[in-house]
Amino acid sequence: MRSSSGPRRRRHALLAATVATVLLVLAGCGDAGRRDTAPADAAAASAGPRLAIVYYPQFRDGSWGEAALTGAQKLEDAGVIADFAVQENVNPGADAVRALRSFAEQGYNPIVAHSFNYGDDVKQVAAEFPNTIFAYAGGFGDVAANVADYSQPFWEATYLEGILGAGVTQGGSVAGAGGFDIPVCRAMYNAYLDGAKLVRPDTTGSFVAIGDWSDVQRAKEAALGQADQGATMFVGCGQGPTFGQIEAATERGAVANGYTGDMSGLSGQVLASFTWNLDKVFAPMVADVVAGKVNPTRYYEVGMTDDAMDVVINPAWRDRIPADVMATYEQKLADIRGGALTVPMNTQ
Amino acid sequence: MLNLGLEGTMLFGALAGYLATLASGTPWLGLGGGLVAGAACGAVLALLMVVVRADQIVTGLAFTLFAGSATTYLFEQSYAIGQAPPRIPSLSMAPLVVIVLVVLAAVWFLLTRTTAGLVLSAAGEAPEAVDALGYRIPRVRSLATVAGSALAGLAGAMLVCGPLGLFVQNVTAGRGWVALALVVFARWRPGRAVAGALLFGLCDAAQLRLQGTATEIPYEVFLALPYVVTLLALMVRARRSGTPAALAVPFVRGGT
Repeated sequence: MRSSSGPRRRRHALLAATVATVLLVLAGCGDAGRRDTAPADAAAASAGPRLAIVYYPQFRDGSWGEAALTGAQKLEDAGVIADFAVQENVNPGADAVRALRSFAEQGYNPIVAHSFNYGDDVKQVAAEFPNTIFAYAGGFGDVAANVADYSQPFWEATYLEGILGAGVTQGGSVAGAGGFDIPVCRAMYNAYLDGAKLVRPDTTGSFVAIGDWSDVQRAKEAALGQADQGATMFVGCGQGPTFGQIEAATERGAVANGYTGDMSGLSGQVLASFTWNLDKVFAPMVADVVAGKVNPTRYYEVGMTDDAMDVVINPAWRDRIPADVMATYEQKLADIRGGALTVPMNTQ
Repeated sequence: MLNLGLEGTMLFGALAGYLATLASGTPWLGLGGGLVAGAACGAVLALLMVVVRADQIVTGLAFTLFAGSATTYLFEQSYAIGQAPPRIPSLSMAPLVVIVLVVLAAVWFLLTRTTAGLVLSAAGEAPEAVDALGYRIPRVRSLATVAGSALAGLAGAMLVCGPLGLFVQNVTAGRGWVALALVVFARWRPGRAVAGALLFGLCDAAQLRLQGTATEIPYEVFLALPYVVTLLALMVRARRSGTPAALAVPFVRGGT
């Protein structure tokens, strides 16, 4: 028995190693976001700065991640940057530190860590590369030395969506949801409610924290609960909560709104979406790199006055919005764009 | 057998359910796709954990991590950037409830009323005894892993082909881990596991609704509610855990 189990065990070990290798190779394919090109030659290096973006879910989410990808692509197409590299599935912590360091070593500047959760990692790596801008989506002006922050004033857009939402519904309340009850999500919900009150002053609403940014089923369950309590207008913060709301709105004939991406294609019940034009956010970072204004860097507070967001009305709804509501919307849009109206960040 | 690959298997099942429904236009075929994908995951896991006797905890965790990346990659092949992923026709709740009841009855009958079920339970409690009776432990455990994984794949497909009707990255969002906790909670009894799942789901649905009404209580309290109830239930029933004696212990004939 003993003599025959020896080679057999070795064969098993070999099999295990083979399977493990195959699994690893396949797992590597999941990391498809990496778009590192060959090291730039001298000519390419002088063509302009190179932008890198790190993200931890997938980029192609039709929302937050995709906004970064398309923003960078626009800058490359416009010749503002020579080239850009992105890496997805990068978990905050050791993975992120490695990815950020690797991009910095390759000469990428600025480097964008596209999530609030990268704050600590960015600060750690930034100290090692003082001539590189490391920007992360803190959203509250968390700037130090070469660590930059960029704002997410989405409440400017949801204020306008609220006007439209109350304009096309006969009654009912506002249902807000976010992955967690964070300031930006609260402000988005409050601004939507304020917008709705412009049309229907007695409008009320509720806000639910789903407890997860990607749990669509749970978000839908929460949205159905809010619909049972009389909600007819949904405003979501985060992809999961928003996708869940759109599903619930479709089932109940309520109106939903897209989040950081045009979600009109998802359902006829999507009234309006707002896009986040991150090229307008990345461009000043790139300009600062070119101008040598890297350390200290600044808070990139870029909103609707800088065209960093657009409200996109679902074409299917355009003719169903009452003229007076549309006039109010157009007026407020012009006021926000022109700087005459500042939508407050109300986090209460 | 301790199968920590459950969450990953559910993800693969969900993706298979989505893609099969997309290709065929029939959510029922999507459920079948989930079942098959789950069984395939089970075959891989059984190969690693039973045949090769790799560490069950490490293998399961690695498989779940792999599933997260692989399903995202494969899902991205089904649509182009700037375009919404296609939606699939979906089933209502009623047929899903029927499926759960049928599966529950079948698993209960198999485990408690048949020799195969007795052999399976014994393979987790006293594998040497089962081996001495002439049953081949690796075969029993492999089949159990494949069958259990097929059901996990079906569960993932039910999530996607049910009322939701869409797939997103990490759509299962930890439901596989909850299922593992429920098995412990239910002391390895199928009926209790379903009851536990209903309790957990009830608490979850209730907390989402309560959040909108009672705004003076911190929302974190509500988010924790399903888990607090599960922990309390575990504490109340902790006297007899019912954990199989040979859980997560690979079987080596003549070994210790």
